[in-house]
Amino acid sequence: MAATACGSKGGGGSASQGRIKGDPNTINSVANPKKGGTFTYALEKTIDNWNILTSAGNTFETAEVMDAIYPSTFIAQPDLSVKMNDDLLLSAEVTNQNPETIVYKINPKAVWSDGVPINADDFKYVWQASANCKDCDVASSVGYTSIQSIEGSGPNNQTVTVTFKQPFSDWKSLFGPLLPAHAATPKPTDEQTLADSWNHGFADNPPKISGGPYVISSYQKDQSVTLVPNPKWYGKKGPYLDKLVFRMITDATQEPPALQNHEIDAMYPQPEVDLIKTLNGMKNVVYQEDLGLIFEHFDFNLENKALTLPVRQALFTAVNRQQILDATVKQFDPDVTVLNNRMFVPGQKGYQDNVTKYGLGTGDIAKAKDILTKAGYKIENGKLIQPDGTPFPALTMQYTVGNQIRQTECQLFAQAAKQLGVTVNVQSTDSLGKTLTNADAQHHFDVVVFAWVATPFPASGNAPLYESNKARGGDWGGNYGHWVNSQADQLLQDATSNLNPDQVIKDLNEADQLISQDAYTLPLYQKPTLLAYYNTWGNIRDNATSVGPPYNVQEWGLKPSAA
Amino acid sequence: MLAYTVRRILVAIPLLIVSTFVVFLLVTFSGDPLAQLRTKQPPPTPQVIANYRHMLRLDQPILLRYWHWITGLLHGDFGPSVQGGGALNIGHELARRIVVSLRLVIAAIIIAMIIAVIVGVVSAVRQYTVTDYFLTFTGFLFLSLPIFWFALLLKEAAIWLNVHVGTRIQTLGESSPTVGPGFGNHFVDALEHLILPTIALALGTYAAWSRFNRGSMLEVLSSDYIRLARAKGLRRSRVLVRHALRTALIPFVTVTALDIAGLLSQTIVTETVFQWRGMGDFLFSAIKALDVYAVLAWLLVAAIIVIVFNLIADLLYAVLDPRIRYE
Repeated sequence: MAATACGSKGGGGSASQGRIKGDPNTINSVANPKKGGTFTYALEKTIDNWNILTSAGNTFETAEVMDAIYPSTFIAQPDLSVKMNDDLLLSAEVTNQNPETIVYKINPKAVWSDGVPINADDFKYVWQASANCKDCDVASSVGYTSIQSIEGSGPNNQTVTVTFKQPFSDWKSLFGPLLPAHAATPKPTDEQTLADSWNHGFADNPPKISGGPYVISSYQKDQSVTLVPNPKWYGKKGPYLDKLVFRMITDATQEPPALQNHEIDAMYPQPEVDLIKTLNGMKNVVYQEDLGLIFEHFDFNLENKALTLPVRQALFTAVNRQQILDATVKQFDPDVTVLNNRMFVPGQKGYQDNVTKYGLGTGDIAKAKDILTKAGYKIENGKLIQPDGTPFPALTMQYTVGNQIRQTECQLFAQAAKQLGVTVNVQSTDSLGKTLTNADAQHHFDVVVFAWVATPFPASGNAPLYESNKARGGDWGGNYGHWVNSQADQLLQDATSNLNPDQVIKDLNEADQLISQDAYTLPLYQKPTLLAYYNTWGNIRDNATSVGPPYNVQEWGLKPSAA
Repeated sequence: MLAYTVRRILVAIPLLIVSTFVVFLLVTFSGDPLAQLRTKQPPPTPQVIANYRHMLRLDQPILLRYWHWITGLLHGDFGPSVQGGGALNIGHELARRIVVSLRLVIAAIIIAMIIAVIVGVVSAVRQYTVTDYFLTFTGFLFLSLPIFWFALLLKEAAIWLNVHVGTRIQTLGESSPTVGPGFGNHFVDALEHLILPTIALALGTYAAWSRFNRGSMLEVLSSDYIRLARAKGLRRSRVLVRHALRTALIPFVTVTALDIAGLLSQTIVTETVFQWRGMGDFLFSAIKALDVYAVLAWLLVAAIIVIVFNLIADLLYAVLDPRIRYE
C-alpha cells in the first residue's frame, strides 16, 4: 500500500497518486475553484424515501444528496467536531440556562429557492412532526420532546427562540436539516395532515424546493439525481459546478470500473485490500482513508443466564483485540488501532481509555482462567464446568452473512473461548435486525458482532444504546443485549440534560467504565472510511461522520490547474 | 387453436395460485421485513414499528394476509411495500422495470436467435469441416462461460478501449444522467447503453440454441424429402431455406421459448453487472429488504411471462408446421 508523501503540495495535504494524508478539515483545499464542469459522485444505495428525518428515509446515501438541498443548523466536520452553519445562521446561542433557551438568528438573505424566507415556521414544522405527532415516522425524537415552545420574531420571523421544558445538552443536534414548512403538502392543519405531509409529502418524491447550494433538476429513478446551482443561494461560497450528479451504483464491485471509465468522479465505498490495490493502479486518482465514527464491537446477550459476570469478564479478557485487528482491517489500513471507549472515538473531546484497565481484549488466557477459578468454575478435560457442577452450555455467536471480516472476528473469539473450555458456534445471520431484537424471546444470539455509528453528539446518541427499558418507559431502544445498570441509567440521563459540556463528558466516561466493569460490550476498532476521487477536483474531502463527504458540497469544483 | 389457448390459460391459473401461496409462505417465514428498521440508529420508537407492522399487515394472521393480497391483485393492488416506508408502489414500479428488462431480453433473444440459426445452418451444412469445428469450439466456449464473468470481461474490454483508444462505450446504467433534450438523443443514448448487456446475454444464450439448431438441421438434411428435393434439381439455397430450415425451426422455436425463463434469471446477473434497474434488480432489492409483496409480485409477473412465451411458442409451432393444429 503506497501512502505516498511525495509530489506537489496541495491545500494542507500531500497530493500525488495514491493515498493522501493531511489536516482532515483542509486537505485538498482550493481557494478559488473554476466555475463549471459536471461532477459525478457514486451512491451505494438507491433513494426510496426523500425525507431523511423519517426512519425509512434516514439512510446515509440519501443524506449525502440532501446535504446539498436542505440546510442544517450545525454541521459535523471532518475532524469530528461540530460547526454552526454560518451560511444559514448569524448566531445560535444559549441565552438562558433555566429554562434552557436557544436563540437562532437566521441570515436575512437565507431563502428557499422559491424566494420564501427560511424562518421559524420551518423550525416549528420539524419540531411538531418529531415530538407531537404519533403517526409521523420520525428517525429520532430525542431532544425535540424536551422542547416547550418555538417562537419567531424580528423581520420575516428570522429570529427563532427555542425554549426547553427539560434541559437538553446536545441541542446542536436539533434542526438538522430543516424542511420548507410552506411547501408541506397537505398543509398540516391537524395531526393527521401533519403525518401525511411528513410521511408522504416530503418523502415520496424528490424535492422541488431547495435551501442549499443546489436544486434538483432531474431524477432518473434508481439511476441518478442531477443537481444544478440554486439561483437563490445565499451562502458565502459557490456553488461552482454546472451540474452535480449523484449516480447510484448498488453493487460496490462496479464502482472502481466506473471510476476508471470516468463515469463517476468520486466514490465512497467500504475499503478492502483489493480495492486499495486497484486504486493505487489508477492514473490521477487519489484516495483518503480515515477513521471515523463507525466502530465494531462484540456484545453479549445478558438474557442468557449462563453468561454470568465472571464468564463475560473471562471471555472478554481471553479475546485478543490486537490479533483481531492484525488479521482483518490492518490488512488494508495500518493506521487502525484498538478502540478503548464506546462513547467517544479518538479525535473527539472526551476520549479516554476505559477498557484496558479492566483487562478486556488483552488475550490474557491465564488471567481469564484465574477469573473463572476464583468464581468457582473449573476447566476439566477442556470443558468449562459451572460452580453447580454442570457443563457450561455452548454459545451461539452471530455475524452478518457475507461479511468476511466479521466471520474472522468471530472465529478468533471462538478460538479464545475454546481455551477456556467454552464452545462457541459461529453462525451467520441474514437478518441482523431480527437476531438482535429478539434478544429476550428467542435467544438468537449469545454473542454478536456488529457496528454502531458514534455521533458528534455523544450524550443523545449513546443513551438509547445503553439505557435499561426501565429508564426508557419499557422500550429497550438499541440496548439489544438488555444490560441493566441503574447507576448507568442515572449517568446517561444526566449527560443528556446537563448543559455543562465537561460534566457530560465525565458522565459518559463513567457510564462507559460501568459497561467495561460489567463486561457487556467490547469495542474493537473504528472502521476506516475510503474516499477516492480524481485529483483534478478541489475541496472534496472525506468526512468520516454521519454526514459524509458532501458536507461542503457548495465548495466542490475544478482546480484552477485542471484542463 | 383458440380453444387450446384458452384451455392453457385456464390450467395456468390454479397453478399460479398454488405456487404464489407456497412462495408466500416461504418468503414470509424467511425473515422479518422490519429487521433493518429495528437496527436503525437511532432506534425508531415502538409506535413507528407498530405503524409499520400494521401497514404491512404483520398484525394479521398469515392466511388473511394472503387473502388480502390475492384479492387486491384483482383490482391492481400488489400490496404494501416495506421499501421506502411505503413510498414504493409495487405495481407501478414493476411495470416500469418490465419495460427495462424486456428491452434487454427481447434484443438479446432476437440477436441470439439470428446468430443461432446462422451458426446452426452453417455448421450443419459444413459438417466436420474446419468451419464446423471452429463454430462448435466457439459455441462451447460461450456455453461454458458463466454469464457474470463474461459480462465482466466485456465490461473490462470496453473500459480498456475507452481509456486507451478513446471510444465511448457505455458500461453503466440503462441511460446517462445528462443527455441532451429531444427524443433522438435519448434514443441514441438508450441504444448505446443496450450494446454491452445485449452482447453478454445474447452470446451466453445463442451457443446452446445453435447446437440444437445444428442437430435439427442435420436430421432434416438427411431425410428422404430433402434428397428428393435435391434430386428434382431444386436450387441448394431454396432446399436449405424453404424445406430444411423451416422444418428444423419447429423444435428450435419450442426450445428457445422454454429458455426464456432461464434468460430472465440470467438477466438478474447481467443487470447487476451493468447496473440496470430492471426486473432483476427489483427482485434483488426486494429479497434483500425481505419485501414479501414485492417478491411475490415479481414471481407472479415472471410466471406470466413464461406462460405467455410458451403460448407464443405453441402458436409459432403451428404456423411453421401446418400439420399441427389443435381443435
